[in-house]
Amino acid sequence: MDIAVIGAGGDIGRQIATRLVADRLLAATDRLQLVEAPESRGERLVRGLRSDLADAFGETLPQIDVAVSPEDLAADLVIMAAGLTVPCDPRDLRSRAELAEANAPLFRAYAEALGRHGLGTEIVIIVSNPVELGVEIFARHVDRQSVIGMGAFLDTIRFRNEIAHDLSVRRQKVRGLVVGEHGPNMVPLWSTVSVQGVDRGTARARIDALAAAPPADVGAELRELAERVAAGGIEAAYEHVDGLPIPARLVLRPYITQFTGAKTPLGTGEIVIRLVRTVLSGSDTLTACQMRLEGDFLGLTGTIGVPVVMSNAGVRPFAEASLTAAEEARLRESFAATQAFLSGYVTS
Amino acid sequence: MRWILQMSVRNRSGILNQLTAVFAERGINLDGVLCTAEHTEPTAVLAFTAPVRVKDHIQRVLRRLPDVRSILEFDADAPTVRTFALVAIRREGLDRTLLEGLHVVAEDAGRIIADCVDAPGTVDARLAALERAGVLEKVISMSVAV
Repeated sequence: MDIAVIGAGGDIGRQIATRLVADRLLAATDRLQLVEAPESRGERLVRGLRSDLADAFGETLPQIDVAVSPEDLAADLVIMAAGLTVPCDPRDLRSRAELAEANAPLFRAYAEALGRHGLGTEIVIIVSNPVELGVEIFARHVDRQSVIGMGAFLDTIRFRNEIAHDLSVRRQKVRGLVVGEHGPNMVPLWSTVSVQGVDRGTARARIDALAAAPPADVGAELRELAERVAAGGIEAAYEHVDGLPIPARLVLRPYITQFTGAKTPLGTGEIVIRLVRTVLSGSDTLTACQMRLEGDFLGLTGTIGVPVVMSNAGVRPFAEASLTAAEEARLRESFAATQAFLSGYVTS
Repeated sequence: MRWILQMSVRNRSGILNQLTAVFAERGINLDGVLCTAEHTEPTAVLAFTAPVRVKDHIQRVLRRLPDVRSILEFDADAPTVRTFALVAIRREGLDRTLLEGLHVVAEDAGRIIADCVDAPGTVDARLAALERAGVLEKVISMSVAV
């Protein structure tokens, strides 16, 4: 299988490319395509990355192909990690709309090229934000069920992390999904949470207590955190987030990490690698991700994060998922808000 | 449809493995493979059957391989495509009109050795006619073109 990483010169793209090779997910005859804009800093970086990968992993290196045009995109699995992201400067709080303005043309260029030249069996993983916009645009040019938005998958892992922290267990003990928008309108599905190895009654009571915490004003909290970080209070910012309810932590903690300058390539890269492993494994996995719906989950038509069954054929909504009435209502609200946002960039 | 891709490649070990893996990964069986660095620049020729869209995709992937310099594509029915056949036929009772279009290269008491270079379909037709007369042995090269 050949894998293309679009935006391979970025922090996250480089991490993904490195992990693909380091974890031996590609055979010697497979091809890793590093895609960047021509004559950009990214192009210089991927040409250097190619050499560095050969230095590090010469024993198992796949074919490394540097491409500098959407027209050269050719792979069985395409990871879209290019485009503008949240800046590290906490005084520069960029909105989703600004990200969408910058990244929509990139999404279109690569989606159109893949639609024109692809075999029709490619799987696309959208990492760039806004994830829903990437999914919506790619799903217009390739099979919608082969386009996977990794936002809800990432939120799901972070959700489990926060619960594991609060219950003093390892993350792998915790199950539970996050759906909806990859952003402030995400919807944690508390009814799906369970903890292995803890007495059910005790676990449920503690989970219910976490779920019952009053919501925080995420927008106001973000502005306050940005000011704290700008003033040098990084530890104080993390401590403040630790005291917030879990849904707010899911949104805010990655912002602080981004503001530190460390950014989030390790976490995001690891999640992408898990997605790739799932796709390559040939097995079916129940999880959550953003996908384009055509009335096949709660009758919704549009792009949003939902429970899905993921496999090497792509994703299909897990229609059997049973949400509580409150969760369904929140998901519908998140869906409506997301579609309103998307309507500014794509025609329905 | 049947296609021939004639590739100028870097002459290095493992190149054929790289090329054929592109087909294997997509479940495409190769009808013929020729790899040579004699009398010409290093060349790999692969014949296969696939719909146009799949052929185009395969070619795009092959072009991205670092060891592939250029690719020429031929429809297997193109007029410049040629196949070579070398055949040994039972001599006894042979209707010699069946040898029309073939070049006899050797003959003894028991058999006639002949070769034939022509369009793949023509070679196939001639060999089919000879089969009825008793082909003892035959070698058919894969198709090449310029």
